[in-house]
Amino acid sequence: MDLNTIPEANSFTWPEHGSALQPSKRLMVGTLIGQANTAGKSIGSPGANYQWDLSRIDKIISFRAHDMVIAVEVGLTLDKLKTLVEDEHLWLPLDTPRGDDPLLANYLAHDHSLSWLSHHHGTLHDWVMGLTAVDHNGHEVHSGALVLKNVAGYQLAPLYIGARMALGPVLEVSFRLLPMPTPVTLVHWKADHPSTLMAACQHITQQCYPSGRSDPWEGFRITRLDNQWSMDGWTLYPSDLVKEWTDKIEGLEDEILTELKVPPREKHVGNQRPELLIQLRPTQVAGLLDTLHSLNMDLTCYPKAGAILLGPIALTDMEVLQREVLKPIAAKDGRVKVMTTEGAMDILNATTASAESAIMARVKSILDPEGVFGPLPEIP
Amino acid sequence: MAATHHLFTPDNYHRLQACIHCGLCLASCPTYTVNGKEADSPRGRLALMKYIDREVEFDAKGAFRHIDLCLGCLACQTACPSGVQYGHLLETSRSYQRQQIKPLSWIQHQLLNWLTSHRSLGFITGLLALVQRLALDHLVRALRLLPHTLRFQLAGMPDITGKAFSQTHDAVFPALTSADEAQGTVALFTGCVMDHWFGEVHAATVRVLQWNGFNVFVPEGQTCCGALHAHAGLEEEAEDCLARNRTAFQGIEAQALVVNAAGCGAQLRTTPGTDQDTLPIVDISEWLTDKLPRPPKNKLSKRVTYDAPCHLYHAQGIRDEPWRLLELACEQLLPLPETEVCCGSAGFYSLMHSDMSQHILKRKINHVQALAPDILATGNPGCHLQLQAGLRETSLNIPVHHTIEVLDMAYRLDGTYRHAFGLDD
Amino acid sequence: MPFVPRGAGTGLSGGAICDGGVIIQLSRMNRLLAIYPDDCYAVVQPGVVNNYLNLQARPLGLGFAPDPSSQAACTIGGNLAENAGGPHTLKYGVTSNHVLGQTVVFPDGEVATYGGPYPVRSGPDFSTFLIGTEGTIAISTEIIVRLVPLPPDVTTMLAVYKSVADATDSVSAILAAGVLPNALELIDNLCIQAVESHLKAGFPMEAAAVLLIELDGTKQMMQTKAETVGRVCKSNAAVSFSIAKSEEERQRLWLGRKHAVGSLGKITPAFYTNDGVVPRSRLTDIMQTSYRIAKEHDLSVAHVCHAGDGNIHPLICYNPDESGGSQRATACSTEILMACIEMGGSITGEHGIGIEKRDLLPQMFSEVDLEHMQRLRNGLNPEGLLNPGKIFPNGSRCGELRGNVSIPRGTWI
Repeated sequence: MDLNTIPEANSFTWPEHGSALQPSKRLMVGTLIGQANTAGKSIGSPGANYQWDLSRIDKIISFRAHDMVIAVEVGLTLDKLKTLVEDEHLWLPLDTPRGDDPLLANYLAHDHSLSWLSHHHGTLHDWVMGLTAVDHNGHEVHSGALVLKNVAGYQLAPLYIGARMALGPVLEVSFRLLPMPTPVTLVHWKADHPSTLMAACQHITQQCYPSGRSDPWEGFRITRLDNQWSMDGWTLYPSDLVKEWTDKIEGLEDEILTELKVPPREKHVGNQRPELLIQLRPTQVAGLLDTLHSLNMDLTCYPKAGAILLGPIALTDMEVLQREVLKPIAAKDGRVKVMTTEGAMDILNATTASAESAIMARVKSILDPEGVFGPLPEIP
Repeated sequence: MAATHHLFTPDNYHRLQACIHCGLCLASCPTYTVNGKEADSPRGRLALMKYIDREVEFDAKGAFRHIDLCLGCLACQTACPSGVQYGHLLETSRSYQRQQIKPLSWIQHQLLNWLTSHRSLGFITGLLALVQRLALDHLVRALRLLPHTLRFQLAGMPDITGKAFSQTHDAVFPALTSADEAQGTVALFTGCVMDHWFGEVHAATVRVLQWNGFNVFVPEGQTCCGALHAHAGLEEEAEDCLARNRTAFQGIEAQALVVNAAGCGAQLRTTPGTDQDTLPIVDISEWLTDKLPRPPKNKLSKRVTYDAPCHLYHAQGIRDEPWRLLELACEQLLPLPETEVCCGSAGFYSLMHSDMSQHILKRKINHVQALAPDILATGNPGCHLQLQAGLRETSLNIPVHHTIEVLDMAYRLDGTYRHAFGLDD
Repeated sequence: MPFVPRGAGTGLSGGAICDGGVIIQLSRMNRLLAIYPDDCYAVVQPGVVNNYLNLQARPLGLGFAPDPSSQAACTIGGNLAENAGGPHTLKYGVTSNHVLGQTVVFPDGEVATYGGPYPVRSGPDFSTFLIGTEGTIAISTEIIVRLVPLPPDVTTMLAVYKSVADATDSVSAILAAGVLPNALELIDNLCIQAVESHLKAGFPMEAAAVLLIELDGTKQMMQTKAETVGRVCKSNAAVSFSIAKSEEERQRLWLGRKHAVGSLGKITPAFYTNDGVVPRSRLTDIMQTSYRIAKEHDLSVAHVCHAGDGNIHPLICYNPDESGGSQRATACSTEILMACIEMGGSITGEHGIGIEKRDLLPQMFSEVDLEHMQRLRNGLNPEGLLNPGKIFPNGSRCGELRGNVSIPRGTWI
């Protein structure tokens, strides 16, 4: 394969369908992607020569409502996909904390699936059943299947999810689905201090389940924006029951209760764009929220999922953040991940555990020995 | 391929084939739990038996080391979904071992012989009683005079009177109720070690039966049940015991033969050829469960726990009945974790494989220690000795009692009961 | 020298079989290192028995969700290797949904820890990738497992059918009615005969099939759902529908289910347990097809299915002493699996490929797919010393094994 023989202009391509790439063409596309990295609006990193826009690969490959599975191409947006399955009274319990409606390609590449549903329903890892990617020769490779249970061959999805297409772009993906939950009650509170919200969260859980471990909330998050703390949550319990739980809680202002027919999407607040993901044990969350409160950081927190999303972070805050938050977390076995490649993240010496970076680098060198795809951004 | 069997009859080989190698027995096997070796699991042992049976060039001697290490607790039979008759296959293999591979050691043979002779057992009992009276056993243990295995056995001994129950008591005990409450007549199986060392258990058994309207009598001419012989692979001797007992119980007029030792019950009940049709063989706990018109008036204000003997729980499937009796007898009954797991006694096993036995016992003792009961109840002499020794070795002052003794203790809180049996002093 | 990790040896695809070399027996690494009830996770060694972990977690109101029928003996390490499932995967997912991290040893001796005690996984996750690789890449030595809160209440129901098709039709109908049971199991007549012959679990002997349906949640939430399930079953010609009245009755039904496979030893000298998956809506088809295929081979087949997942376990009864008996059983089994693939399913849902199905793998995946997967194995297990010969077909035979089974679009094949 001689990259120099491929003329630049001609090699820019918008494939209509993954399988439409005939073997002869595939090699070329593969090469292209390699040179192109994966930059720009849909997928990618800066400084690429070429882009490969996947937004036109947006077909539904197979949707069998009775089997509660769907296979689609990655050019669909998350919102479109969710609407599609909701029309059949099914539900894909994935959401995103970000303000945009990502292409599935983008959603998979960055794994922005840690959301207010994650404490119950996990992330992409729990719902992707199989995927088709492109290997470094430009061939399609498959893994997984379109059935609920399958252990045939290696499952590649866990490596490709969040790998920022550094192992190759994903073209098709299949999800398992759930019956749509009804009815739902949506709650919104405001408070002055995160501890009020955490206590309320605890109180309700205990009202509902004496063991205090099951959780009545399907979606639950705490956010801080412009010095205002708020909680959004929704549950399958009827609103009168929810009211009964929440009436006894003091210190909450402005409680809004809404009844809905369909599960709500997570609404992003203000111009929030999370840049850092902090993961720790659920019991450590309350303490960290107090610290972040005193630092005046904007954030989104999923207490039961042990996750806090920080951002946007001003350059001036970096040093404080490093000292007050990130170092103590590392000492407590927590982990910090950079969510986005934009911004001044270089300053932060905070990455995933080195073992994980190392193994991903090794996997990358195995699956993409010539480095035709973009680099793994998390490797220093 | 011509089928040549070395070990099994075709019938038994068919029984072996019922094993589908699913491995569900593994977690239930005490030896596998200790050393995690496949060869020391029921599935592994069955595989070894198969090889011994089918292969010409096979290290049968080596294989039998693993089969020897089996306690014969039969927990695997409870766990097995395919109903493999492991116990039967084990005894068949051991019998083959005795004949073809390695005869039983002289000392073990002697020990087994003594069990069937009242005179020999009486002599040893007398000796032990003397040792206890002179507190020599404490001396031996304190000065570590004997190997640990023997010291350990001494530690578990109950207080021995020197005379067997059957030699010191009448053979007939009348019911102590009015005629309209009378429930009939039962025969008592006295056994060997039970008779000589656990006379108090027999006495308690008889009292409780009498108090609840049963006439009890002890048929003459009975002997050891032969369970230990059978487990050791001495088929003939076991058969001999059985024959003697069959003669002793021939034509006696009783509703049932009551057995209060789990091992004996299992042997008498499950061995083919026992005359079950004419005389039902029952464990005391099973017999009494629905036949206690006069339950204890008071309950012991003690914390009691119960360790299930394997030959009651697994071999005879008697699981809840002892628990029911104990519920009547004590205020606080604590469930013992892993109660159905062997204590490591298994007849002579604790002597022959003391390392493994101690490992298994340790786990049991830890469970008991965590519960810290006032009394540990069980239902078999082997377990009784083993548990008591284990508790004493761990410096735990927890007495071991037979289930029926605990029930008897509850009865004894009642003055009329004490008076009726002259137990007031 | 090759080396093969092994737990309790309850696997059904030969993943722990060692053809020369050393077995690394992990059953003695059986310590439960810690449980953190408030954070809902536990740290275990790979030799911990699944059931033991559950027994320890139960008093804390927690449990480890994957519950394969061999849970009384199988180890957590083995569960990871095969990505074990069980009856309750329908609602709770398989092993890979319940492992948060693990410490592993690579064949070159390198030790590393992936994942950690955070409840959710984000980004590429090597630990999750390892689950289901059947011990061909690395050996786990310490595992962080998620523990799920025990449901406040469970309701177990039994629906009895005169025909298997009615039972399988009910399965899709129940889910279509919007009810997600935590378990939805099917047991057919032959298995019922075997189980009832010694267990008295409570399955009617004359039933062609029964469905064992379990819901969990709070009482009030389950009640309407149970009514829906009852209605759906009745409208799909269930001859009876009952709700277990006591915990004891419930336990007995489940004991019957868990012992179903083993009990078959009572009625046949040998049987071949298989594992295939189809989309749930094709369950009726695959059951009828399997009975037909077995009949063509002059064999009988019994079924226990994780019906809700479309995961079937055909148990092919045969006599190994009969000449050609086992070959016939194998041929029959392969045909059933091919039928699974044609319906858009998979050749294994929870037993794994091991050595049993490695030659069938090319029916599901293209040469490129397999090459891609093998590149990973060869890269991470370079000398091929760790568990050789598993999962992937022998290179030289790879080409001829590629079948001409037609595969529906969208099944990733």
